[in-house]
Amino acid sequence: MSLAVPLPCCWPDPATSASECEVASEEDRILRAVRQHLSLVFRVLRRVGLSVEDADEAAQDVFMVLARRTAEVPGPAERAFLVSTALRVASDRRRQQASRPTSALTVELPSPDPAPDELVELRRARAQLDEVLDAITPEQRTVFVLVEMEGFSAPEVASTLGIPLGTVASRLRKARENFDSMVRRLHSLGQQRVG
Amino acid sequence: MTNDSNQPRSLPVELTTEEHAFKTELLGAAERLDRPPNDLAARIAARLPPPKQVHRAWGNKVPILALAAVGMVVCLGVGVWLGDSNAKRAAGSGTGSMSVQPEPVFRVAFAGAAASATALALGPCAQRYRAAGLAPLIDDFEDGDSTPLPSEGRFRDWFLFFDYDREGQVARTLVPETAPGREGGQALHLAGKKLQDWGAVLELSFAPYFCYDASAYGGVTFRARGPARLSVGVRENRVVPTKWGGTCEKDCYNAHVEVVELTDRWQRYKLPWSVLRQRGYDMPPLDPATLHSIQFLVHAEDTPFDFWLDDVAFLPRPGGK
Repeated sequence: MSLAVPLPCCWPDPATSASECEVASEEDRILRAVRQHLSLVFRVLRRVGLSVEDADEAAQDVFMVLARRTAEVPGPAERAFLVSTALRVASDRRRQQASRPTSALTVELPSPDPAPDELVELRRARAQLDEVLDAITPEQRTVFVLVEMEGFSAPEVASTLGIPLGTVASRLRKARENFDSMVRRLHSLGQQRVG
Repeated sequence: MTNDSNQPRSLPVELTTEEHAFKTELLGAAERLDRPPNDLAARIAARLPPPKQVHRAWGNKVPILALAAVGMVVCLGVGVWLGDSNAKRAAGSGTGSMSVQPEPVFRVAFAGAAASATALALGPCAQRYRAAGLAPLIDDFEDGDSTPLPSEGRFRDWFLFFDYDREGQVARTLVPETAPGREGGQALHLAGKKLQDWGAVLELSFAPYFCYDASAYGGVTFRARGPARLSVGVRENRVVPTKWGGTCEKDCYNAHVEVVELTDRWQRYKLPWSVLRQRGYDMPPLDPATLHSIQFLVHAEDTPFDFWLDDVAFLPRPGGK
């Protein structure tokens, strides 16, 4: 079965009507969307500032929104819809986080690939990346994450976020400046510690 | 927090080589670590509302009884539903209706404690998919993805579960590859080093949260090449825990199994329902009308392992069409 080919009727029971087959196709479409876009959705959620635990829950919420609104989302717009939904869900979660006490317990989900020593280094670097991204305004951060880290084009970002292309360009420029400035600062601090 | 929008503009300064390397290191860490947990896709799939084309096991003769039972369960279940914080969020987003609709009943069923009540009220297989016996091929992997052919209501992907021992690494991306000795055909290749805990299992749930009625067929068949020792299991809905879409609450996971020794040559293996057995004495034979999933399990003691799987299908029923 090719991802590009529409699903045939999946229920060869003569008693099943065409509309029932369409229902099954909708479900299959959501499962395909999960397989195709879950990694992207999860990455975006993490990179706009959610913890692993929150990103896990938020990713589920994002696809539940798609499941409720499948009929409204044409296939080619699915990726943009999921990303913009992920950004909204992340924004809601950050607001909720701001109004509740921070848990002392951080859930680290297993990441089996890297060796333990390498994993420690990777997690340290990942935490520093969060530190850098936290220093950028949320609006700039979103544009930076989508363009620099996810490879979206500026027109795609403009369309996904519903903002003018010029705004994307200016946010991206500021975000890059701030990001590099923060990288320079963190690197300098690291050098001082080493020295 | 920095916000340059209110600060005077200054010309950006290029990063030094070392600073650029540091930046690359940070971004590289995100590339390595920002990955969804292995089971997240499965958990999302489990939260999806069930498809609406459901064939009632009892036909259309007792819809009133079934609706009455559903109504009672809804009355019991709504309390559980409203007590659950996640459910409250869902209600807040527009699904808070308390009318007796099929969908909320199933959501209550997913919510854990109420699942057994629903199952008891309706019978564990009151709702089921019924394979007509016309599309036996489950997956030949020629399409290059991990989704089985969408036939006869089978709608879930293949999943691979394995223990996380540092010494064992299992091929985790279920991408079919060109199979050696199969003249260009694709197959699923699974390999792993020594696993320490329980092993690895490749699983396909036919239609979780429903019973999958494969009684139109006579068993399962597949092609494989090892060497490896596989425990091929078919699980009835009643041995699968509720959280994975079954109805089992204790002593679960007792699948009907047959151990197959794979050789280093491609061979077709045929397992009629009758050869699949559960652990224990006087256990009932497999009821193919109440299936949940098929599994290919490699026990930890049989690792390391390296095998290929292809052309997974149902067998025709003896004497059937």
